[in-house]
Amino acid sequence: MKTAYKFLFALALLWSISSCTDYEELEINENKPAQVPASIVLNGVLNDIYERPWSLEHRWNQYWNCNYNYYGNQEYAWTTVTLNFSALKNVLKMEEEAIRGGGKEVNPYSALGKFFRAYFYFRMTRQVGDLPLNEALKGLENPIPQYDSQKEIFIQILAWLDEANSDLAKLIQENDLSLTGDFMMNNDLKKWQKVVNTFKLRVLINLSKKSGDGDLKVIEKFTQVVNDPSTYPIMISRDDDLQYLYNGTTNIYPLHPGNRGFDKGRYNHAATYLNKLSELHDPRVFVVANPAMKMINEDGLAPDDFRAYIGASSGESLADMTVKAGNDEYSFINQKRYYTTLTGPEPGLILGFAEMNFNIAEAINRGWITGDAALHYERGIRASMGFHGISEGTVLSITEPDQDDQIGTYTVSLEGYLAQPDVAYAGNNSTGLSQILTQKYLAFFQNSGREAYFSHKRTGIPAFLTGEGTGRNPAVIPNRFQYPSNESRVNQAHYSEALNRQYGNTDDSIDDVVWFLKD
Amino acid sequence: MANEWLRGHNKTDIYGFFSLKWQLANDLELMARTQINTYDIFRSEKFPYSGTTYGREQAKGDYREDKRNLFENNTDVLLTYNKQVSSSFNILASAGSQIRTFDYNSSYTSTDYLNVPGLYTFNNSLNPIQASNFSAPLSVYGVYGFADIGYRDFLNLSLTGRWDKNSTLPLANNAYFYPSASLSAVLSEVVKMPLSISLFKLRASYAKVGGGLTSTFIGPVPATSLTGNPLGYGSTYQSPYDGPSYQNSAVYSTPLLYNNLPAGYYTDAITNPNLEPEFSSSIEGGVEVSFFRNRLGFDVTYFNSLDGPKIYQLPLSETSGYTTALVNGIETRRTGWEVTLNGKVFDKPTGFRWDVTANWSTFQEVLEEIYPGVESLPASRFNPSYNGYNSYLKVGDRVDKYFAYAFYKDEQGNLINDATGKPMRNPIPQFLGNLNPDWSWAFINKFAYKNFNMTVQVDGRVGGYIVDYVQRQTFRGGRHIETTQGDMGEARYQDYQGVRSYIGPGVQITGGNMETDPTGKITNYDELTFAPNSTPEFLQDWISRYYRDEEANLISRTYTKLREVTIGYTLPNKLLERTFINKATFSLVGRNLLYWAERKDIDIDQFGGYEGYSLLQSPTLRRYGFNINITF
Repeated sequence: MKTAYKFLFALALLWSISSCTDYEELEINENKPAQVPASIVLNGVLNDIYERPWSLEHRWNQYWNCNYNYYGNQEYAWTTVTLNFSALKNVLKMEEEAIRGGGKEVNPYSALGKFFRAYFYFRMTRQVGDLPLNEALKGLENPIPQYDSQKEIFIQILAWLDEANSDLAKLIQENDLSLTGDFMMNNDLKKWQKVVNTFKLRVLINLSKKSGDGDLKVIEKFTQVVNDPSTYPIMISRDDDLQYLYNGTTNIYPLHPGNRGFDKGRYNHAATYLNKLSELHDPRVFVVANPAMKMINEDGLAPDDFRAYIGASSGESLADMTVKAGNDEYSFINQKRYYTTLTGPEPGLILGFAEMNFNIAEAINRGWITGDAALHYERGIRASMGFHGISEGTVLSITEPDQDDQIGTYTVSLEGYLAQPDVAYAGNNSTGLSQILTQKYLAFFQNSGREAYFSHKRTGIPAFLTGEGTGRNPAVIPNRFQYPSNESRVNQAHYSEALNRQYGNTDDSIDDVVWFLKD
Repeated sequence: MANEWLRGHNKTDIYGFFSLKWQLANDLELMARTQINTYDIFRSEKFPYSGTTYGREQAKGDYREDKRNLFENNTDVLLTYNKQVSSSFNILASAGSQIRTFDYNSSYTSTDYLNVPGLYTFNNSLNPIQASNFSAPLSVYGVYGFADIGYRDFLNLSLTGRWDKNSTLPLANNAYFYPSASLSAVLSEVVKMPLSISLFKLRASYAKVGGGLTSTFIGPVPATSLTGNPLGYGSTYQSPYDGPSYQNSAVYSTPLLYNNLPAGYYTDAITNPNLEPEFSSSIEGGVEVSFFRNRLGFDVTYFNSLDGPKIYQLPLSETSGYTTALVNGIETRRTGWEVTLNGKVFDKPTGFRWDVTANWSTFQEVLEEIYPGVESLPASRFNPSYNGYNSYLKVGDRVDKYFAYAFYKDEQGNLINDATGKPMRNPIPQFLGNLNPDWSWAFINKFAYKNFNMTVQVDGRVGGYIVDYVQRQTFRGGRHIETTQGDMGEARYQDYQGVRSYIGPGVQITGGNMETDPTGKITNYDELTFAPNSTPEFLQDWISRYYRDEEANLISRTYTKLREVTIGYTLPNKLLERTFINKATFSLVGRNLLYWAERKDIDIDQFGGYEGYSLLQSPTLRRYGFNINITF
């Protein structure tokens, strides 16, 4: 019988171990947090608004080309685009976490949240058209949201920006210091307020084709911002730029010594951009590009001769471009400037002072507001030059692309540049407008996401080059992207309804014109 | 590189087993047993200075450690009743309870480049160390019972039932029941059969299994998914796991982004507190017959298994803020046949013997249900294709239907080329075929004569398709042997000279504009006129276009393999009579000796699943061995 007791004891021991199990606790994933401080979510959102240089978008902006078809091309064979509803959900979560963390109803995160909503909706709606707005972001409460018109979306974007501005004003007045985790503006609400209003000018100038719309009140709102800087502070220098800095350790510039060896011959400049710089005798050409070495070595041009700076037409067949780039007939990306550091020569600019000035100059040229267009035009140019490290008297070193050996120098005369007949502001007429838009395009080089493309689509300036290299038959630049393919399956009725309403069919064609670009 | 780029792999397994039995009465026994199963894995990687991969272009070396620890304990208490009721009846019945306690802990640490080349320590990291850890405990409490009832040698019935409570599932639904039953009848025992039939047996069974939210394998510390890769290159080592997948947890991911600080991203998958366990069930039936005193045997099995309803990420409109919701859905049914034939062609105990075994099997898996209101499912769920196209399966479709990029063709099937003389890709992925082989077979011959014996095994599969990734990449990288031969070889030289010379096969459109319907089919052949392609192009540009797409690299999965040949010799007993050795056998073994297939740059044998792409593989080795087998 003794054995039996031992046995029973062993059993009892085993069962007592098992009865400790808490199934509810075990189900929980301890490896990831269910709640985080709002500042951590902000970090993610800021990473999501970052627009990187040297992306495929910038090939579609016709700033650079890939000449090696194994690694890419510049075809506009657009299909669907990545939308930002997941990022918007994180914005909602950030606001929620801020309240949970003891934030007031109006707190820095909620104020910035409104800006981010405006930012992401602006980014998305221009790419596709109508989108769910009022019924969006409700999870299973509304898994098949209805689409709202682009006009409604723009009205909401402007409203969010208004609210963000007044919320930020209130917080600044209260000296609210609760914002943390902001690596872009260093938790400075005043800078964010300038970003909000500067961004609003971007939104409004994008609505130039709808400037007569009575609900949007484009001109009225533009005037309001420019004329009332105490209520609507805007950027006052490049120090206010919304940008992403590369620290060289955990965040490195997309071009760096590590990929130079692979990339050097694969990418060259695009004609739409570089040839315009050369044509205008623009000093930026020496900063962004190496000379096409064939022009120096065989044709005997001096390194500071603007004719030696040649970009390839984005429309050129890739086969031809490969051969010509191989023969050094095109300018490569300035190897020394862009490929020799981890921090890069320029930050990743998202929204800048230069663009703001061109937007104001454009508004003056269009007669929306009164003011000195030439002043803002020149300020924009100087800001863009500054972004590239150019000021009056700067001596630029000209290097060849293989060894970075200096082969020449160029001394900048900004005043001389601005005084050229092609550059000097021609007045509030169509030539002046074209100058503003051209300089705005030059200033968007490798920054601000797809702004250059949308500016081209809205104004036709500059003309984009097409041909075999840009793909498509006939070779035209598309007007939009398709909706995510999943929408036609999981939200079919609303998706078709939205397409029919906008384009009169459900083809979801990339040649259909989005509302804000329609005359 | 092989001298410098070093990876260590150390694994220690410990198993233990302990049981107690108590005979309560003659027919009644109580047993308690406990067993542990653990492993401890330590993997290291020394990535040398000047070595680069994608994402590590700065070439400053790295050191990494991947540590994994698994502990599993199963403890049972079982009461067994075993009774010979009568001379013809036998009952064995058990009831018991089991607790499975599981714990898994792992860590993954890496430098972010090195300061001192060749010093592989964490404090030599140039940038902040990247470290992460993962912990996953689990508990399953089960109650089960089974009964075996035998009636003479004729009938055998087995029944089981099990109730589990599983900590991976939501509290409301974490307990579930699943049964099984099997019956076999040796008809030849009770029915008078012709003399030539020595055995006639029928069998049938049903089984159901439940579970959910666990993963069979686990990789290094999960970055994005359990089996994810923390590096941007290479493949990961997957170890056995069977622990929680944590798919149903509403959490943030916090990757280190700007300035190495965590950035919070809330899950895109909506979790489900009412999620139910997933089940799979199968029925199987078979006949086994042997003739002529077992010299000829024949075994046929039919199986039909239903996998599901599974736990499924239901796609949502991303405009809801989430891309999926975790639900119970998706059922697939696998049906198939297996036939085995074995015969003793020659059977002289002292002379020549020849045994033959032949196997033939086939199966198909079909999508049976998805989710109410959902009509189609991304095919990538079943055949993870390399490029992840938007192609969908409907209820009733085979799950291995393969959709990928194909070319436009004229009515005769010739490639249609564009104005540059290159084939035109159809932007809509087309159905290229089924991935799974139609059937597989094996043929095993065993010969013996006196002290010699020989085994020859040939097997293979027939039908099905796969994309030959090796072909694709070697062509596109300009390293395929065919680019140096024939027309291509000549054109390649012309490429080098800067002359476009390669005229690809197919036609060009000389009149009319091609129109297509939403499925990508050309709708206006009658309006189109074609002429043979006449535009010369650089070979490498033509190759880059043509071999980019799956259709160009699609090959049949059919292959035949001489898998194994063994020749053995057993020392005659006479020689060993006076020694301490009982038996001694010597044999020569060769494996993977011959391989026949349409293309031999990959070994299709390694791709037994639903993979659309072959991707990179370690070449199969032809192996020779010599075995000495001595028994004392």
